[in-house]
Amino acid sequence: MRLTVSATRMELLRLKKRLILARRGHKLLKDKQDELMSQLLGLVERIGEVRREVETRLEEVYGHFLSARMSLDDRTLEAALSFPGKVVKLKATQRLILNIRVPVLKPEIEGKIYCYGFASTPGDLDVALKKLEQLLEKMIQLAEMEKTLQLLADEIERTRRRVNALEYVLIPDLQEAIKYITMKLEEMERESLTRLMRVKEIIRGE
Amino acid sequence: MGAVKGWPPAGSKVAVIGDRESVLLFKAAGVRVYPVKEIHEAEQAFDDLVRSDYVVIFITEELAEKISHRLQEYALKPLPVVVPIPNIRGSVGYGFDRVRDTVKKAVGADILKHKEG
Repeated sequence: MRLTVSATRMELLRLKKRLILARRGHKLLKDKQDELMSQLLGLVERIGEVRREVETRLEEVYGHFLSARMSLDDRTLEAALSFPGKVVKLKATQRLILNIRVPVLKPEIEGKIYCYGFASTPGDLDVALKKLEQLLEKMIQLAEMEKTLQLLADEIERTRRRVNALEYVLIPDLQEAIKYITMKLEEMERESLTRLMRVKEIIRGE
Repeated sequence: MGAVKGWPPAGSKVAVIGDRESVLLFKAAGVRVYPVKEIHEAEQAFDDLVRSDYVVIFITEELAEKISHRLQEYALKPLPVVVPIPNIRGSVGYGFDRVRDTVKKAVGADILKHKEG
């Protein structure tokens, strides 16, 4: 027996109340875990799609960039790209999913993207840049989703640990203690009954 | 929604850490870039970015894998968001692996094994 208790009726009542509470808590946590899990599974599926898209499109961008590079020397390229005509800013807010704070990111892109003369650079560079610009929003969306995934996963792990602690430790311990007290009380009852009968016999025998 | 101290961080920004070839184009797209070669440079860049409240940090898979222990410290904070991206030589699958590991940790089983390949 892991809980040390005194075998009294008071203690028995107290333990029974605790058991009911523990069971209710366990059910709530279990529900929370199920909900978190379904959120997570939905999110994972969407992340898979978005990440695949981002990676494919990024590779396209790199492809165009590489072919632009071939026809340019390093200095011209560096000069063309070094003075960005725009700034990517983010508006970070947050929302709550089942009491977990997750970030919400909204890109705000300022300025125009072509920051160099068209004459000295190949068309592939323009294409690469244009595609990258369109891709950035998706990439930021991916960032938001992946962070949400990490936070959800962590919360699930913690909830699971609490569910398990209730299910495999606290609730069985309480049940055992209740059983112990009930048996002890019954035993004491039987004991006093036999004592009474014996006493009665002795009196009658006189 | 409770207000969090210092939220949103002033001048929320995006940055990319990676080898020079891969990040050059991002510069023109208006993203702060850190071209790095060595691992310690990447760590240095990452620390700088975290300190100056960058919100989203893209990092090439190759480097992300090497400094993953550093990135892990921030995995459970709401910000910054660190996202591995393929570098100019293509994807090595680290981005997907990371998603898979996270799910595995939560679910207790590798449910994506057959999906992503």
